[in-house]
Amino acid sequence: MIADRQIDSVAWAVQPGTNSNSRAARLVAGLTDGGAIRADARYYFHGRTEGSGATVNAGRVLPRIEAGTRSSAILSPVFDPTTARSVSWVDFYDDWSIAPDINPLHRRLAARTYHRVSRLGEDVLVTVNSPYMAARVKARNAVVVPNGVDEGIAHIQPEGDSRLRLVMLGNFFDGRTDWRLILDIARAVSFDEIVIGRPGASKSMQAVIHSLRADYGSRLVVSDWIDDVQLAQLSGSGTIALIPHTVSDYTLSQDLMKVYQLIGLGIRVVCPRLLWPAHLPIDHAFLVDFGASYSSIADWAASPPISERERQDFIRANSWSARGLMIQRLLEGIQA
Amino acid sequence: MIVDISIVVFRPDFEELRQTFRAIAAVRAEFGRLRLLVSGDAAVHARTRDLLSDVGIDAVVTERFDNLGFSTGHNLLLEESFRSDADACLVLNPDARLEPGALTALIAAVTSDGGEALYGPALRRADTDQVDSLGIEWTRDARHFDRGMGDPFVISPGRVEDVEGLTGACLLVPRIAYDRIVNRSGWFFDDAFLAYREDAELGVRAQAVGVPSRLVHVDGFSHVRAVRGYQRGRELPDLLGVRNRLLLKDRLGALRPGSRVISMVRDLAVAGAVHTVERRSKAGWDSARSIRRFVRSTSVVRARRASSGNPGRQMKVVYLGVESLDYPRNSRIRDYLEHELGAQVSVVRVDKNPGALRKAWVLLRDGHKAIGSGADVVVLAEFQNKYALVAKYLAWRARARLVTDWFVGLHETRVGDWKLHGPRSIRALILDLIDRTAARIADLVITDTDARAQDLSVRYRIPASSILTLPVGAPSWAVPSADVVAVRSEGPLKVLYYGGYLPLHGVDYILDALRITEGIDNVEVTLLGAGELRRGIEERVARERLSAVSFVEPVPETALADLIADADVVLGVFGRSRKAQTVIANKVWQGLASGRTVVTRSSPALEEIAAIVGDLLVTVDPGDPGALAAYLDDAVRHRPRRRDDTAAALEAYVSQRFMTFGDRVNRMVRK
Repeated sequence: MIADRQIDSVAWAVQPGTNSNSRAARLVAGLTDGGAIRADARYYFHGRTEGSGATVNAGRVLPRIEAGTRSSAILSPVFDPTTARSVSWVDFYDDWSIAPDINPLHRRLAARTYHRVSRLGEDVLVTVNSPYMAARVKARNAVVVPNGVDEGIAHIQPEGDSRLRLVMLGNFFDGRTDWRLILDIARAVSFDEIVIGRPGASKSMQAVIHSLRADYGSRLVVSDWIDDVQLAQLSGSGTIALIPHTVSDYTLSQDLMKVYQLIGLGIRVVCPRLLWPAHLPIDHAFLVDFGASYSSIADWAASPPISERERQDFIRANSWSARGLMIQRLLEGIQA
Repeated sequence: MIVDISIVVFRPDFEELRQTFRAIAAVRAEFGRLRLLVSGDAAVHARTRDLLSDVGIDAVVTERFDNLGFSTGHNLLLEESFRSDADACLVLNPDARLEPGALTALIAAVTSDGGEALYGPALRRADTDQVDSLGIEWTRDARHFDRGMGDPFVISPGRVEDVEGLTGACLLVPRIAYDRIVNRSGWFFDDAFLAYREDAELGVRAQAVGVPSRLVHVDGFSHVRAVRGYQRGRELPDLLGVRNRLLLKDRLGALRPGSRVISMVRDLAVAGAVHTVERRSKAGWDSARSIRRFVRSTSVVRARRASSGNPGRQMKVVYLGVESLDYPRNSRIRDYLEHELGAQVSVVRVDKNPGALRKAWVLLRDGHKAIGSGADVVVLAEFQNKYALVAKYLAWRARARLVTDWFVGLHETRVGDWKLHGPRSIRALILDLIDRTAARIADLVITDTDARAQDLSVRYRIPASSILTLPVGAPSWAVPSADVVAVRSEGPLKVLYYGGYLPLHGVDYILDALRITEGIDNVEVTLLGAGELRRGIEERVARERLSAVSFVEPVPETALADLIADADVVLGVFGRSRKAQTVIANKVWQGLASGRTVVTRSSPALEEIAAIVGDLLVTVDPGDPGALAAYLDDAVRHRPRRRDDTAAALEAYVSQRFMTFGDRVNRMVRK
């Protein structure tokens, strides 16, 4: 990429000093490695934290990028890309305008931004994470660039035993989590172990844990944090994961990153049918909807698991670096 | 016509299923493959397999432990069917029956009708003389019913009539109708529906994108109909009925058939019922409400209907100098103009008799007629740089914008590739002048790669803003075969070249490489096609005793797709001309879209797709045959990987470029 076309400022929601695993952080890291974003780019964020070094607190109410930047990337709809003349790339993931965990002001700003994206010229690349978001933003040329998986997990070997195990990873909160689905599945199948990671502080989740504890006793393991290595230690032929999301506009706007992480670690996934990432094959999914028979999950768990070759192929085809490269090529195509 | 049968089985009545399998076994000679999706636990899978075995019928069976639903299940099977060699697929319920000869009669009627619609046979209620369905009809309160249900079964054999929709219990889907519906509306059956009413939605959506539903009066099809979705009293069907009513409303918007007022009154009545007397269906209501933004915003037909309400008139395009309507690039651009931009496209064919002056005169004459009723855009077709002045004159007369498809230049082909004229000869200068004129007098130039666009911009001093890249892309037949395997580890390495033996292809380079390939005994090279230079290549192969090489005559596209699917490596182009440095050849697109490794010469043009296809694309130095030989030796030892996800990724990339083109044309016309 020619130096004067490099992106020299990035506006996003990532606070300085935080080690974010968000889509925005992953894509920006990939594009910085690829040279599309300058190594010394300025970062603008919205929030309360103080700015430091090359990061600028752009305020919470109407955050803006300073005039004078040559080329900027906007990865949060709280920033309005139509007010900055230098925008080269805009990426929107999840519908922030209806997100239950986003404050009302930022929801409103996000809705305004989605509406205004149609004003951007064709020299601005607009990428989104899901077909819903492609339709949500009013840009005809929005390109769906799905979420990805960290290539590093290719080197983490699954080493769990063959016990019938159900894994659930938070965050869990009202409005997104289907508490009934968790209980129904846990009661329809007698798991050897249920592991819940990052349960959070939701009262509803505490009630679910209480209920599961009554049924499973010590076979229920609750852990405040489960990283990839720990997940790999759980990943065996009988280990499956549940994504207990409600099906709503908000969850349909997401491209479930956990699915990528779990499949990448060799764990098959039970997921609401409409939420399965649109471009991923369904070979290792158990999709649930109205009238689902959860008892057949036990038979499914006993069927052949994800092979190591499938796991490696999946990681290769869906890595964050592949996504970054795709965006870089799209940017080069627009700039050519 | 090869017709597959697609059946989705969920919680089956096994006795009914046995009878259906028996009926299918009795007509085994009339269809291609039976594709079955069986949902349920291991016992259901085993019992279904036993039934198939008892009846003695072979089937491609997909077993799942979950329930994908009717729509997603059949979408999966249809995709598999059309990815292989089927020309049509019969969607059949597990409780539908067909008698010997009935399918053949239906196919004959469909073929004589043109095969571009959705077709359904007249369905009899099994073991009665009553109608089960003569298509779908809508009421004024936006409900839909099977036409003629319960009436005496009286048909007019051979008659084909338009209807509002067809029951999904027995629906014949020709490939062309499938492709049109999927390409224009995003999917075939709507995955938002789990069960019931998806067939009614399909009928309305298909009609909106130009695919009608036609009932064929043919006897021999019947339906047991275990579940009647509109008869209330069963919890799941009732709940889904409520949910689906709302989904239809949100998906179709103003396209939902019926009176808007009466439909709204019924919607309110349903809302009242689920909150009072039928609370068991409230979950269906809540479910549809919670995804209404998704359902509305991703509905292409709803958006199209909304945009067609704008006061702007239809754009008129005259497409000048078309040699073949089936040429992939020409066909795709016209299709985009017609169906995505809603333009009225008039085609002016180029005269097939020899003589440039004659052709110019015919184009002028026919072009005049075409612009008679006005034109907004004149497109000069690919290969027609020679007639740029004719196009410019017609555009001027019509006060239209001129778009030139500068796809193949005369100078680069005749001087660069074929070396018919010396580079400094008068003829070469004239050819260059023609190419330059074609590029400079256009309001917008389209070409096939970014590298080529940059080259044209520099060479002919055209502003970069006046050139757009419109990639060739891969045609719909170039998709991964159904039996994609990651790596084929046995047998010789199969290498395929296909094309017209053009200098651009550099077939001599391939032979040079084969001569020094150490593992040549494990390589099988097929050279497919015909062309002026083939005879010389054949002589060289015989002279140099390259026994690994075999020659194959040109084949139709479907057979070509099979050959690509069978290959481990597809060869691209290895010419060394300026043109070879800037193009992405059709065979490169097709090979990659088919999920096969493509080896081609290194070129800046490939950069735009390199990231999309990753290691499927291998480039070699066109000046060093040793590079290709080294690759083949390596591939013999480590067989190339195959992938099934490249076609969609490439298509997404090409679609984005077409959207940019569409925006530009729209803006030009508005100015």
